[in-house]
Amino acid sequence: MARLEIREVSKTYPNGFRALENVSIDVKSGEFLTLLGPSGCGKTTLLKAIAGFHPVSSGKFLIDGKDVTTDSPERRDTAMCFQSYALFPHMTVAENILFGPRQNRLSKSECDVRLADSLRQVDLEAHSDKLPTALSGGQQQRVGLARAMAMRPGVILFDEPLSNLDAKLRHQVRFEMRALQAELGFTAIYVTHDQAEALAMSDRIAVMKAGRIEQIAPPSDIYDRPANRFVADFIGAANIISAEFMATDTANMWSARTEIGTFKIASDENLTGKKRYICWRPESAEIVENAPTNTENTFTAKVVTQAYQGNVTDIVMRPVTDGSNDTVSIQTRKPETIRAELSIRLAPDAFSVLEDV
Amino acid sequence: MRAYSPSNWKHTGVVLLCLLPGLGLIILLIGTVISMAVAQSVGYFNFSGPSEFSLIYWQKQLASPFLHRSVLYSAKISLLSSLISVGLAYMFAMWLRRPFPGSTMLGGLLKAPMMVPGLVAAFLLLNVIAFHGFVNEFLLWTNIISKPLRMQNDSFGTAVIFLQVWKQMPFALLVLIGPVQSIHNEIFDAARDLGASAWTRFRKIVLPLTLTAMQAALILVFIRAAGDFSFQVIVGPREVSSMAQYMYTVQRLYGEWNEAAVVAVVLMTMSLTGALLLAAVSQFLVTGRRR
Repeated sequence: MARLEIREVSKTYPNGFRALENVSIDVKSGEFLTLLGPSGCGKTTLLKAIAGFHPVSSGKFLIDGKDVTTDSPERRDTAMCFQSYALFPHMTVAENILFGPRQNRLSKSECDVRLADSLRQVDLEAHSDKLPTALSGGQQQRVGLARAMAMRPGVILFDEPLSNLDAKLRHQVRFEMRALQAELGFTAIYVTHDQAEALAMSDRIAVMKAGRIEQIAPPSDIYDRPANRFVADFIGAANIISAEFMATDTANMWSARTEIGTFKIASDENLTGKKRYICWRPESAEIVENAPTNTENTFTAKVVTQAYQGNVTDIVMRPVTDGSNDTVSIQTRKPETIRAELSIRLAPDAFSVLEDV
Repeated sequence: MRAYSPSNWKHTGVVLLCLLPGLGLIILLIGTVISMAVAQSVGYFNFSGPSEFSLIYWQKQLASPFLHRSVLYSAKISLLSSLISVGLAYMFAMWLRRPFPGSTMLGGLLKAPMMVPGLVAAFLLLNVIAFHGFVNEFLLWTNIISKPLRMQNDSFGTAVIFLQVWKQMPFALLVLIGPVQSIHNEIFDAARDLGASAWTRFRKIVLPLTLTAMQAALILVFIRAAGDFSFQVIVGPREVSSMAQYMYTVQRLYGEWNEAAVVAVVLMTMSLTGALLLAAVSQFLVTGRRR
C-alpha cells in the first residue's frame, strides 16, 4: 500500500476544454477513495492521469513522496482494473494474472506464489486454465482484480469496474471488493457514477463536477452535510429551497424563513441576515398526526403522487402554503392517500445549510 | 445404417442446387484450369504431338537447372515480399489504429498503389532507378558519385522485391487494419499498465489477436508475388527467371506446351506449399512460443 498525493492537477485538451482544474487530494495509505460524479466530470480522466495514460497540463502526482508525474504507466506503482475488464482474450486466467509479474521478470517461484495468492484471494482457483470468455462477468471482473493485485502495486485504480454487471451481481461484488481491500489493505482509487456504490464502499468520496472537486469527505458527511446544491442533489434525493436567516436566541439554533414556512435550523455557522439554500433528505421528514396549526418546524402539504418501492414509499407533495408549483419529496413506510393533506415535521438537525442564494 | 428415403434425396438435391451458383462456378473456373494444367503436364492436350499419358515432360523439367533456380528465386522473392509487406502493413495499421487529423487521407494514400497496374509501376520505378534515371542523375549532379550506379536488374532482385512490397503492402494493410483496430484500447492500456513495452504489446497482444488476418495476408501476398511476371520482366535480374517468366519462356521460345504446364503445376504447388508453410510457421511462432 502507498500514499498518493494529487497536487493542483489540471488538464486542458488542445481544443481548450478543461477536463481537470486544480485538483488536489491526499489519499492515505490503505484508504478507499471514490471519485464520484456525472458523466464528463473528469473522474476517469483523473484516474487515467494517475495511471499515466493521460499527461497532465500542470500539477503533480506523488506516490509515497516520489514524483511520478512524468513516469510512463509501466513505471508507476499503480495497477488498473478497467471498466471493460480488458482481459487478454487469448490468454487463460492464469496467463492473464501472470502477465504483469512476467513483464517484471520475477522468478518462476515468485510468479507461482503470486498466481496462487491472487487466485485464492478472488476465489478462482478452479478456473485458472479457462479463457476469459468461459467466465461470467463477475468472474472476469475478479480476474481483472487478481491481475492487478498480482503486481502488488501501491495503488489500485478502479475505472467503473462494476458498471457492466447486472444489479444483483454488482451488489455482491461490491461487498467482495471492499472486503478484499480491507483484508489486503491496498490503497484504492475507485471511479463510479453510482452513488450507492460510492456510499457503500468508500472511506472517503470526492464528488466531482466539470473537472473540479466539489466536496471530499466520508460518505456520511457527503450525504448528511453536503457542501452545496450540486452535491446534495447528486447524492440521493434532496429537497432544496432558499431560506432567509434571522437572528437567533439560542446557541447554534437559527430561525429561517422559507416559502413553505419558518423553521428552526441547527448550524455552527453564523448565519444572521444571510440568504442561503437549505436542504433536507426525504427520509428525514416525519408525518405528524393531528398537529395543531403553527406547530414549530411543521408545514402542511398535499400528496400529489407516490411510488411504492417495497421497503419505502416515495411521496411527492405540494406544500399548501406555497404559492408556486414546487413540490417536495418525502419517504414513508406505507403509501398515503392521493390528495390527502398531511402535516410534515422536520427536526432542526435534518437541515443542511448550503451556499448563498 | 440409415435408409436414404426419396425425401432425403430431394433435400440433398435442393442443397446441391443451392450450392451450384457458388460452388459450381469455383469448380468450373478453378477446377478446369488446374485439371487442364495437370493433364497437359502428363501429356494430354498436346498441341504438337500425340495426346497420351507421359511423364517425360516432368522428367525433363525436374532435371532442368533453370527450373530449380526459378523455384528458389521465386520462393525467395515471394517470402521476402510477403514478410516485408506484412511487417510494414502492421506498422501502418498500428499507426492508423487511432484516428488523428489526416489519418483517413493517409490511409487512402497508402492504399493508392493497389490502383496502379503492375506494369505501370515497374516502368515508373525504372525511370527512377535506371542508368540515367532520377536517382543516378541526382547523385551525379550532386557529385556524390562519379559514374551511374547499376540498380535495375540487380542479381538479388531487390528492385522486384521493392515493387512487390510497394504493390502488395496496401493489400496486406487492407486485410490487417480491421483486426488491429478491433482490439479495444483498454487491452493496450492494460498491457502497458502491467509493464509491457511497445514491442511486447505488439508481440504478445497484437500478433496473437490478429493471427488469422496475418496468416491471410501472408498467404495472399506470397501467392500474388510467386506468380509475378511484369515486375520481373522490367526490373528483375537477367541471369535468373521467375517461375511465371520461365513458364512463358518454355512455352513461347521452345514451344513446349506440356513442359510449360509442368512449370505451371510446380508454380501452383510452390505457391500452395509456401503459403501453408508460412501460415504454419507464423502460427507456431505466435502461439507456440507464447507460454
